Amino acid sequence: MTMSDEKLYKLDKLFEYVGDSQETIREMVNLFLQSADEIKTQMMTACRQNNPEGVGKAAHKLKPSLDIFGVNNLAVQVRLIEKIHLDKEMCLNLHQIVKDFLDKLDLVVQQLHHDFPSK
Amino acid sequence: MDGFRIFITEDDMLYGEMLKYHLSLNPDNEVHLFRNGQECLKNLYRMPSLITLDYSLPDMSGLEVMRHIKKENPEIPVVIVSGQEDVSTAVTLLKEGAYDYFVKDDDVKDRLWNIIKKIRENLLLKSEINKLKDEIGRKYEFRNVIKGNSPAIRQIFTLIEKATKTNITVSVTGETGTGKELVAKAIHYNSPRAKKPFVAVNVSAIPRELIESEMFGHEKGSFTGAITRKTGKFEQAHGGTLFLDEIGEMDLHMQSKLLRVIQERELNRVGGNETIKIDVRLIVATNRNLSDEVAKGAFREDLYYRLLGLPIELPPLRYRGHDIIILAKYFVDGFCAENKLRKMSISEAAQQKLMQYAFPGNVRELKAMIELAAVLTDSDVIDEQHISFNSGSVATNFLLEENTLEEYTSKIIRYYLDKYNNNVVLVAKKLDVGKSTIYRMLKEQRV
Repeated sequence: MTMSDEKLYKLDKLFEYVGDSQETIREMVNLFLQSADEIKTQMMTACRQNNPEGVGKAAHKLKPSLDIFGVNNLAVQVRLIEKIHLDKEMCLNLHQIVKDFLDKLDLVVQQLHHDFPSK
Repeated sequence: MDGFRIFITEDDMLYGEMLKYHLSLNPDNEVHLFRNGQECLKNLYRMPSLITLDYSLPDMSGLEVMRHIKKENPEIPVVIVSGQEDVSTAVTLLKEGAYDYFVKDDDVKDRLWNIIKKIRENLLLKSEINKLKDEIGRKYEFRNVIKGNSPAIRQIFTLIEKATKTNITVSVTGETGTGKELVAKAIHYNSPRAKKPFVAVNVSAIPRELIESEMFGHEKGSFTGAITRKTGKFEQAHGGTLFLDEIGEMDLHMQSKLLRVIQERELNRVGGNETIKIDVRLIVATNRNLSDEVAKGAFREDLYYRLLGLPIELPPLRYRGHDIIILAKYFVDGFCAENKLRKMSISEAAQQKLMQYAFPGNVRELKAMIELAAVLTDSDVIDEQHISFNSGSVATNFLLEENTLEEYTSKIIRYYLDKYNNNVVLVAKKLDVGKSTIYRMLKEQRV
């Protein structure tokens, strides 16, 4: 998996909430990365246990952060996964759907790490 | 107003921190972030002005947290900020008392600011109302409104003070114009119920066919003309005091309904099935002798004993001696201040004239008389020619009372004693009787 040149996130909404102070933005980015990491683990565990509801819960928790960080290419996907337990057909592809989602999330995380390197 | 304390209860750290940072941009806001329901509940003692709750918290649901909050303090507005886009969840939460419900979308911050603005305005209004209630309370501090220093009125002060300390029903009797409603207000505004409503009803002023609906309310469509639901006086006075003036005018049918409400402490609106609990302190007043009405069969005996409670019998003004002058000066000062007139005094001759009058209209009549005198005078002094009586001669008024000779004697001596500050020697001289006669009458409690 390589890092995309295309910006996978947009911080406009975040600026609306916290202004453009670099320090605050960095703080929020760190919180996003921390929460993405936690949710990724939760999602993978639920997936391993074949627990679509658990996967959905983890997606539900990540949804607002993805919206705030303008991760538009995951906005639709996260909402589908949130309700995956209601769709038997999708449940059959749970592992593939989750893997696809987490791969894309990893790209966003990598890009953020790159753009906001740890001090 | 002090700072506006906001609790954000949110397990999504990014979202919580971001909201905290955003709402703290207004330095008047003191924002606290909690990661679960228990932490939020543990801090309720800090009296937040607003709580935002995520619906899905790790330890309990937003609904459970809200129920605890409402149990602890139903006044705190709770706003649910949730990722749940489910309408039925929102409806349930709103029904359970949530101030608002919104989904974590782009509008969250604008909606939160709007809510904060509204709540702040409400808090300001509430604080204004409380200030006004305090002012009314001070205004009705009973020694500020019930003027006088006679033994009769000092006894009334003692009774009012006792009445303010409990919820006992108070029955105020007295001639017209003696200030029965004033006493009722003084009791209410000096009691622990002072910040709750004081509702006054003049029973005689309500047509017989409307009284039940006025007192207990009615449901929409319960009778012709009932186009909306209406709450009655009892419900309006919930938590406070209901003053029923001219209770002696209530008909027997209504008396039985009133008795039931007083006994059960609950009512049904006219045409309604719902039973409504009420917490109302009752003060009743009448210028009739209710025990006579009971004897005549015009007033229910059981209701009479229910309402009797602490009886306060207001003395007629003519038995209050020098209080007449104290009140006259109080009214003239009030009138001058209200009408931006120069301060006025009452001449000695005018005072003598006032002291000789029987005041069948009592304090109300004195007030009207003094205000008229203040208008009639061309100087800063109210003189005897400015005082005009409406009810015939002093002697006629006195004789109208139809007392026995002994009662007249007693009243004359009491009147002179009040007038001359209990100076027995002076009174004996004025009445041309021996001072021992007066001492004997006092000793035998015939005065």
